[in-house]
Amino acid sequence: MRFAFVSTMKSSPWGGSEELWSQAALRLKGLGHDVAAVVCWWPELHAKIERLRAEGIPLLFWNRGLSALSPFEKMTRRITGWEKAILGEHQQLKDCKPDLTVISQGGAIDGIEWMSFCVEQDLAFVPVVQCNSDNWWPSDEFAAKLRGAYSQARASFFVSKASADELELQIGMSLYQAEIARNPFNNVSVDYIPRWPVAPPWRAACVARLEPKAKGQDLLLRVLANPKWRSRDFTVNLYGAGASEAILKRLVSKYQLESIRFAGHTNDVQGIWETNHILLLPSRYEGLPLALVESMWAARPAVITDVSGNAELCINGRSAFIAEAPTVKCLDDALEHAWENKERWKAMGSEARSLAEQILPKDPVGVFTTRLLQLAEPSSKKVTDPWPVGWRR
Amino acid sequence: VPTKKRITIVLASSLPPWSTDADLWHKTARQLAQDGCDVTCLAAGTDTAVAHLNALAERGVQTLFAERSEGFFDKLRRKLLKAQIPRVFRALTDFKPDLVLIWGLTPIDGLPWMDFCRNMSLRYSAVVETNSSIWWPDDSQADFMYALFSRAERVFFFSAANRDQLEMQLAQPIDRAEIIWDNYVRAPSVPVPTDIDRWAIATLEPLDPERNALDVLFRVLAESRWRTRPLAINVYGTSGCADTLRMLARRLDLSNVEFRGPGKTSQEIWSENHLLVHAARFEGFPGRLTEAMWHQRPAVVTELLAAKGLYEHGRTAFVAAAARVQLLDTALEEAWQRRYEWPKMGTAALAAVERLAPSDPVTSFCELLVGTPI
Repeated sequence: MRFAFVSTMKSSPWGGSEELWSQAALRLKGLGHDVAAVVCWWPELHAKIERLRAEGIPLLFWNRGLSALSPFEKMTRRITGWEKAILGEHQQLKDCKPDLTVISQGGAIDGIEWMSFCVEQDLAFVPVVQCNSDNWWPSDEFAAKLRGAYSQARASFFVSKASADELELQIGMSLYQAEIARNPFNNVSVDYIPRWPVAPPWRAACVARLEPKAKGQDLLLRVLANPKWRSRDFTVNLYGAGASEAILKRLVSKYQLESIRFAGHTNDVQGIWETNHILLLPSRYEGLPLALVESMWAARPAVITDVSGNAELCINGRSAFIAEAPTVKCLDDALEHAWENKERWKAMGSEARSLAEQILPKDPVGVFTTRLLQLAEPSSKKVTDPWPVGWRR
Repeated sequence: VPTKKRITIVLASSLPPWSTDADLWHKTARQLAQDGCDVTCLAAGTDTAVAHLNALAERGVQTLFAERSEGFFDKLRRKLLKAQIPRVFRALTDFKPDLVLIWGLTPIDGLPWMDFCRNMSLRYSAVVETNSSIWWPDDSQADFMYALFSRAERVFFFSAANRDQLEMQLAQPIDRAEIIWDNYVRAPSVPVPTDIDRWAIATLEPLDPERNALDVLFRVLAESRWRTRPLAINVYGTSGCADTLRMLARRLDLSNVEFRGPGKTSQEIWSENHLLVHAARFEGFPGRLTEAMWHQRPAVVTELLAAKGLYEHGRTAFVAAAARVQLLDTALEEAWQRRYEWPKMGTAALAAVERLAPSDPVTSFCELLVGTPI
């Protein structure tokens, strides 16, 4: 069979959202299928994209800068204009003649032009939505365009049920063909549980890129600035890097927080969980955080906010402490609850691990790939939405 | 005004109709002109701003519509003349103002104008209508923003919460910050409807779920216990999301929700409603909400609005910690259980707004502006 994978990511050459589609592409190629990848052009491609090419997956590019174009292409672009040029980039997809196109999106809307192109060209496609948020709301016109696209997909993959539910509200349509796809976790072994660190001191790991807009580290700092937290034998290690690192460091300094330590980015996730007792994730929005999945496999409980799919993997008070909303007060309440129960953290970690075993596939890429093979069959028809039919969930 | 000062007001927001939520800018322009200042207004061409600008032009205020993007010939001209500065910015230097008031919806709208003023050594103040945790500058942007805000003569916010949010985002204090009120019209209070067989609840513009979480309100009302209660939810206003919201109400089969459309006066709205619900996800100055207080109606609001000091849980309002289904449901449930206290709470709301509101926000703001040492 022939598969095309389109990644809409353009903010950087690589990100966590790219793991699922790229590993699925490699898996399908390994099974003997024809696979092509359409990715944003960068002067220097990420090693994991280069690996696709090395494994025999042809790379096609969109958003190519002028310097990447041939003289003929430059001239064509000048004559036809940018819009036509973009259409030309979509045309590459048709040239692949795929049985199924997988459109991997960071959010729920960034693949709309690719989806619309597939609808127009009668190409079978499935969108993958890695994140969604109630912080954006499409206009009526744009919602109609999204409905037109999603209703024609053979399936729509979301990393959490909450993300699908949110999109249903945002575009006013039941997503009958919504399915859950789990992201691969590369940095923890499901066969190994890191030893429980000695306590006190109690240590929490906030494993997230340093981006308060999404990850809410500012909320955490404001909670820890409260005098009651200053007197406790409690340390928070911030793992990760990001564009707001200097701001966060300045805030830590402003609040004189001795309980915060910037631990930088690390791939040694086992090492994180050999050092820390609990995950602390004050996110404002998410898809389904890999950090939570990894902490569950490592048998650690979590303090999380009830955004996107976070609460779908946890049981409040049994495997995690859930803040009802990403606000200082709600986070403080959840953290306080956690602190009062710190002697139970180890047992709660075991509960988290057993939930992971029940809920999460050990080979998410295998599950996803198997489903893609089914969806690529010509007999796999899309489910149309007999709108309006009432509320499904 | 002791001396004739030249003041330019720049509407820097590019997001209609947000930039015109506030009434204050054009009323200020008019009053400054009446007081003898030489006032000019520059706007980024928002539809609703145009009407105000035309009205100002009739009153002797110079106005200029700034096109956001340059046309081909503008660009060519600039290239030929090797001019680094877009024409719209150059208008500022032509006016030679003593003070430029840069009016932005968000903290980032006014940045290019502030940068230009700084480079041209023009004195400027900034108005930031709203702010939200969903905007967060990266480190380099934060330094740039701080450099511009710290050079401003004054930075005006519609709430202390929005100032505090910006100070968090920049991790720096905004030293010359001032909290101001939007203009309001205090119309005579209308009596509370006497019909308590059907309690009426109003939710007002903006009908934009990014700001006013009507999606959350509708999901609360879809719970079975809310369906059986004798209440009506009246939704006033319109927006680019109105069709989606109507669809959502239909999908949830909310027979007690009625879309009443735009154009109603505050008297008309409050003559038929007992309570206000506004589940703000983020907000600038809640002008329509203070109108409810003038009309002696309590409210169900989110913490975000309570943080502005207007509302007090249990006394003038019922406050939800955030715009979440469960949290809003809890606040609404408390409101419902205490519905016979709403008139008493409405009286307390009126007393609160009378205590907090300046008698004339336009005059107060003009005094702050011309009091700026220029």
